Amino acid sequence: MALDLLLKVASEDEVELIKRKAAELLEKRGMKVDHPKLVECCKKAGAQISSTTGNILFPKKLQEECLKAAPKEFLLAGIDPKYDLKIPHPESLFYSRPVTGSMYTFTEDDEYREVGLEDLAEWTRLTHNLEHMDFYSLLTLKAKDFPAEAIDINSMYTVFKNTTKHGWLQPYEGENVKWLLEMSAARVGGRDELRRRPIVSMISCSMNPLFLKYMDSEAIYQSAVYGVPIHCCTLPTSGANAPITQPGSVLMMTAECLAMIYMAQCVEPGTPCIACPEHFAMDMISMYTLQSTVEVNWGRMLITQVIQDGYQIPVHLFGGGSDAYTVGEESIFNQAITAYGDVLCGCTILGDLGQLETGRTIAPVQLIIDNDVLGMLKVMKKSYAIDDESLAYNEILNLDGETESFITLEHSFRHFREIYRAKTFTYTPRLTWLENGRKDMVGRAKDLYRSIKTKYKEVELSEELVKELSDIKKAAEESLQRNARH
Amino acid sequence: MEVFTSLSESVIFGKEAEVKDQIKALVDSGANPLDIIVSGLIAGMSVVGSRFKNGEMFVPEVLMSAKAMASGIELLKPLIAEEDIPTCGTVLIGTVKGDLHDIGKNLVAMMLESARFKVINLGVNVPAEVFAAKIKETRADVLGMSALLTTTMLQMKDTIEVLKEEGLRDKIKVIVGGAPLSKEFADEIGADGFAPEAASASDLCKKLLGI
Repeated sequence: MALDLLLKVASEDEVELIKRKAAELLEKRGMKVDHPKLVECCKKAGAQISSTTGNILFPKKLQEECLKAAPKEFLLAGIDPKYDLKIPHPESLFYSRPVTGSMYTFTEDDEYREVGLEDLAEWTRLTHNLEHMDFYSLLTLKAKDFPAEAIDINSMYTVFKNTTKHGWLQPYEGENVKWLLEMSAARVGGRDELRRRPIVSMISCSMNPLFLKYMDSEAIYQSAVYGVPIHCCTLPTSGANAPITQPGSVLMMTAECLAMIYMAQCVEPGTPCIACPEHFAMDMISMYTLQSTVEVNWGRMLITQVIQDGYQIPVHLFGGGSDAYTVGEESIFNQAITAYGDVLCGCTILGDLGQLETGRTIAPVQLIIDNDVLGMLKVMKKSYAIDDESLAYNEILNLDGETESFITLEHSFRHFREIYRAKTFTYTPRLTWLENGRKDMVGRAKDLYRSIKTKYKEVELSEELVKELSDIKKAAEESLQRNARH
Repeated sequence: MEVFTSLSESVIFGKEAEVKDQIKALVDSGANPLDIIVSGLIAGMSVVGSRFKNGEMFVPEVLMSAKAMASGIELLKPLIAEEDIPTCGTVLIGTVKGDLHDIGKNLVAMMLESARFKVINLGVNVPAEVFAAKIKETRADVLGMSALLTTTMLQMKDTIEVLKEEGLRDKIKVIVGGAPLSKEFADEIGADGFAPEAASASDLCKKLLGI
């Protein structure tokens, strides 16, 4: 019975080699961190500071302690408990989320423009209504009707009005980290409740190689203090700010993810952490950064194996997405083949779905197609039990093929619901297809999108909660503007 | 001359040690240093430039060629006045205030150097006032500003405003680049040009300078 299908791209010895080298890198080179409080926490926990570089060095003993302290099981809570996400997935499947941080939208009418608050609201509603999108992400909005410093705060306020799923936060200003967490605490009923039921998780992203700037250090520090899970993210571009060889990029990503996990444990042992290796490659002629190259696909599979097998830390891959500019053959192929690799190598979270242009652009129609593909992947990943019932031995043995058919059997009735029927693929005869307007997959996804929109339901927020969130938003905007002026 | 052709080929194939040996031999034989630069080093780099543009060479190869040429010029510098060394112009480059990302900016700098621009790299987190002061000090021909974040790209507009206030805007071409930028944004803030990726920056600078 091949339940929990897993692909491996490296031998155990190769995984051990990467682990050994990553540990040595963190012991000898360490990580540069622009955050005195975080550095102090690490020192207190047993880290050393390099006298030549000022980097935090992690002795092997501290590395082992931090790894032991990092929880292997935890919760990403939904605002509504029915959307709770238990890590690891109880059925050895995976969770998914749409792309984060995009600046443009490619609409269902093929319009290309910058994203604003209403686009975020719509993106969140769509995420909420797709069964395989388990949590939401924020976008990078063009600031209209509010100060640029307050983009994160206004985004948060908007998503709360449109979803009750879990969310991951990607702040763009250091000060916003705390404001976002305060808003989240207000939404869930206070800081203690946020710790018990973290309805948000925070992204912290290193610069390569092995540098953590203030905002991302603050994200680790505050998240650990608030008890909110952290996605420890690294964003190398092979051939540019990371080794051109995939094993080299994977080694660097491993060291960076681990360093961030260790730092979180130094602030507060037991802080839930997810390794989040986002991986690109630079084209060696155009110098353009790409996400969907075959080499990067392989690299993502390797790092998943290294982190999940090697350290039992959950891995969140930015596996969806495409470098294409429009929704069509290229974007659909890229997303599907990338997602297949990522999921079958065992990632816990598959991120960055519904995007184009290496993550710069959201595409609702692509998200709908991706959602369909994820349903197929869940079937593939889950596999089928192979036993007397599924072998249907008795049915084959006893069926009179001349007068009976399998379709009439109880056995078919018991199992027909196990068959996944995607919404945007072809299941009808040619004549029906012609009568329905000869639509291709993109056309069918556009129809589906219009139909989903009619089913949106508003999220009800109490008056008290709206007032509380508004007050925090107002205080945040004032503080951010005041600090920006100084 | 055949000797220069051989030197050009060493540049094209990025053979730094051979470039150095050939230059030493040429100098010993009495060749004019300026001829060595123009007919040997620059001629080779021009081939590299056109092959790169045609997709026949890759970035690492271009950078090895540029490194070989730079080593050759270092050897010749003591024999020639600095102002006689041919360049396409001077580019001042930096990542704007509040932004610490420098990989893209550094790639642009490398590609510009490969295309014979003199590059003054101001690093990351550069305030508008520093850009202005450096323009006055260096009398650069082009200012290149980089940003990776939507929150920091607005600093480009502020910098252009400071250049206007200081009476510098008409004296320098301004180009911008970075992942969140677009041509529309570049036009909106009053930049002279936008490079969508590092490889196109040198062509853009040449176009703006009428080269």
